Amino acid sequence: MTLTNVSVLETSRLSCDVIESGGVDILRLSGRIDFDAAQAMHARFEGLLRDGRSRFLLDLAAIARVDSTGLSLMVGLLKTARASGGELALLNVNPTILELLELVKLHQLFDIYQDRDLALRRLAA
Amino acid sequence: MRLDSRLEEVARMDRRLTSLFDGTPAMMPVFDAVRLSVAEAVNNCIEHAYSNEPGHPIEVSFEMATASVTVTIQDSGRAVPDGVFDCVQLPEFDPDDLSTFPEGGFGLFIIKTQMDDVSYQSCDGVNTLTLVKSLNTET
Repeated sequence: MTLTNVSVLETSRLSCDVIESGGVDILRLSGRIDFDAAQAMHARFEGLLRDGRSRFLLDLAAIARVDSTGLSLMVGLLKTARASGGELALLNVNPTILELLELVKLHQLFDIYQDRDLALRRLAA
Repeated sequence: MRLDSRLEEVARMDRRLTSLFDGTPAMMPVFDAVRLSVAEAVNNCIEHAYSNEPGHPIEVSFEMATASVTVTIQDSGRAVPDGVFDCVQLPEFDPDDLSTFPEGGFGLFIIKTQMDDVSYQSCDGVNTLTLVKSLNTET
């Protein structure tokens, strides 16, 4: 499996490494998602779509918690991906974030994985 | 604790809350709910009351009693319209219809569901949101 770091988003509070693996872009977030960071992340994501990428795995392993801004970002990325014919799934969602997703019913919208290889296989299929 | 209406202040406030809530593991879900709700409330002040304009004050105060914690958040910006806190609902959506996926409207719902009591009043240009959370972990 080839892992290629294709780009990096760096804001004052959120960073995102983008790693390509078998046609899927793994977006590894770390830091805190606030409004400014979410806007920057969304803009970077739209850039990836313009570059022809369409399969995304949002890796939240380094995100301890999110609030409504983070939830809005996740839904926004999913909508943007699907509107372009792509797909986005979540990886390494901790129990705190999963509980929040379930509270606001958004877990219904996402494919959520704890196993990266399985997620990559499903997204690449 | 006085905050400026900038998003980075939310993280500072959260660190302060974390230092105050140095409780037992059993209490952590309670404190996590308070931290999340206060962050949502301060975010609302910044984004809605002050329209993301820095330089305005937000006053956050905490009162820990035996049975509950009370957090008061005050701003002097645009007030929340009457009745909004009384009829908070989750945005409706159809998982099969992309156009209905909600990209907002979660904040007040989170506050209402995580806290045991939420009250809001606007008086003489000062808006006050009061959040109460029971410290009884058995409920």
